[in-house]
Amino acid sequence: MSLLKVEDLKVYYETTRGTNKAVDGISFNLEESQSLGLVGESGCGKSTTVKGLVRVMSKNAFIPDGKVMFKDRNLLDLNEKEMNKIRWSDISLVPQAAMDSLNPVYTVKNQFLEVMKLKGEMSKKASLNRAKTLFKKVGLNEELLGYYPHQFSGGMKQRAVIALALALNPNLIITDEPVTALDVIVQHQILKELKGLREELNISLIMITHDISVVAQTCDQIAIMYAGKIVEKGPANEVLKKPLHPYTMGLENSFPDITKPNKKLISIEGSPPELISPPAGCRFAVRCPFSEDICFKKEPELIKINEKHYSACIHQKNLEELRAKSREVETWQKVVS
Amino acid sequence: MNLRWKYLIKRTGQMLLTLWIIATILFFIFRLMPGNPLVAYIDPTFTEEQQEILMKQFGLDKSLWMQYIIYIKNLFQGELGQSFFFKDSVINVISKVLPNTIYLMLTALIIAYTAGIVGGIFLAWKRGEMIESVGIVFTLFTRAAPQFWVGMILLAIFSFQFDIFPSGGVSQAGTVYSSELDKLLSFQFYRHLFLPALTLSIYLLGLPLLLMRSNMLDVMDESYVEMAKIRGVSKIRVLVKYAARNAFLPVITAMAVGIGYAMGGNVVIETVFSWPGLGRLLVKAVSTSDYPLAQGAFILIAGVMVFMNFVADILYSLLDPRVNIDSKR
Repeated sequence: MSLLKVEDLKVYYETTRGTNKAVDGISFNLEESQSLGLVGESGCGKSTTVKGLVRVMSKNAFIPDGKVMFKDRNLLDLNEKEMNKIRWSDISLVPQAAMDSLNPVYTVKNQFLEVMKLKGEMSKKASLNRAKTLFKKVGLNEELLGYYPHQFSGGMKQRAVIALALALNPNLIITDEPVTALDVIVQHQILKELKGLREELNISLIMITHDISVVAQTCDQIAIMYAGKIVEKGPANEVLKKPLHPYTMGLENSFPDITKPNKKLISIEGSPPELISPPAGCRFAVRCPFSEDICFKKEPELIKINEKHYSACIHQKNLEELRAKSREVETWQKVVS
Repeated sequence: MNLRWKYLIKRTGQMLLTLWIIATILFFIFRLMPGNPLVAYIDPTFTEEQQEILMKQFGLDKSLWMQYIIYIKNLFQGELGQSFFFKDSVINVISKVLPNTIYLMLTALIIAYTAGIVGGIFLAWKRGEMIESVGIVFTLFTRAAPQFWVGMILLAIFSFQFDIFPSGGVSQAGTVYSSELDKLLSFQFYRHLFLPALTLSIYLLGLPLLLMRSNMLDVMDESYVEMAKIRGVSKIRVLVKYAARNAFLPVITAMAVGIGYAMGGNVVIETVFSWPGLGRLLVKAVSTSDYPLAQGAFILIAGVMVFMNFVADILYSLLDPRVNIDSKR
């Protein structure tokens, strides 16, 4: 059964220079107990998507269009009070800056008890026991509960925040760059734990990241975002092994792979378009080594290429050739000149 | 010995050192001023011998260093000398007016900081709305308006026009309170306190209000505030427990330091309302060259300021766990 179905969601920002179309009509589907990786570079609209989903947005942001169907209810139709009931009890978040996501003047225990008191009918003692259990689950000593956030290390804080996200046993957890600020060893441990917890507790997960290797470890499905749109989506191993969109091919090149130590890291030249008045046609065309005249004129739709794999690119023939070419440095360097 | 005690001892040492430096500076400032410090005391008709006897009485015949040592020694014993003008001990003179200043100051500070904190939260909450602009203009107006002017306006309205509040002093003409307690229990006293306290509150209001507002705006952008909203914490709770709780920390420091200023800085209001307080006493001491009294008053004000800074530090460490003086919880 589908747990979360996002249809043509748009989140715009009103700015002094015009309307910034940060998220411009994205659709994806998340089955119960599945995990989806939402991948893209900084500024592509990943975090804005999350804020739109839980409807905690800055004052100048608005949702002009779209549907967020969660358990067959459109979250965009709910009022603030109804939405508050869903927040954290059903959908929780492990934020980008876990470091700063806890109130510095209260102990971690205090913040655990706060959410549980707000939402549950659990007694204080039961809440405390649950907090202790969760702390153990994420590999933290339960004594640490009584500490203040600033007394935690970065990794500890990240774990505490994950435990806090699990507090009310939600159906869906969204993690926004959950391990970006941590060193590689801690990153690996936390990802492993996150995967284990998800399977153990049967929780669905949306993982937002710019690091495609993180998704490879954790997710069933992948959606690749570029400039406010989803350009490719499908089962993780298919998207990673047989990318259909040139942007995905480029992304894969730009991350190191420990199994291929000699792999050259190739960056995608240029930068994403500004989203106040995005160019006509494909938004990736200017940076794409395979773009043709038509790419600059007509915007490609996200279409089904095979059973579960979607792509928003007109190049759907000779894909093997394109993939081979995309691994050459020259292919990408050519674009700038 | 635990860290907290170590900290307290260290901090007390620092305070004493600061006070000693202030006392020393005060001593030399008054001694190095041109003219004989006894000018105010000695009648020109005194004979040479009489003058010398007086000089001896006040210890002014001794060397400067000897005087300094005696001065510091007396200070440690709480002895501030004799007032030339009042012909009484400085301690007595000051302690007669000090309570009045404290009542005025505390009342005004409590009103101003309570209203300021609440007002600051309100304006931050109404960010970008019409009422915010009006509120800021109004606050800047209260901050910029001269105290004597506000005082006179209030007097004109409440005292002379409608005769609701008395125009000055601490008691009705001809009556005297038998004790401080009697004063504090008397309704008359509060009627006299009302206008000067209101004037001072209006003046003090701006700082906590604007400070609170700008801190609130900073804190409301913090990710823990956003996360609280995502956790479904209600709007009002986010505002109070997350935003305001963090934003008011610097306001506490401002308040503690403000007490120091308010101690000696009420000259204008005390004059407008004929309020017998420390500010007016200080003016009188300076204008009559009553240097033991001026010296004593200055030391007292400096002492309060230094002490309030210390209190601010302690309060801060109690309110913000990140500045805790212990390294552990």
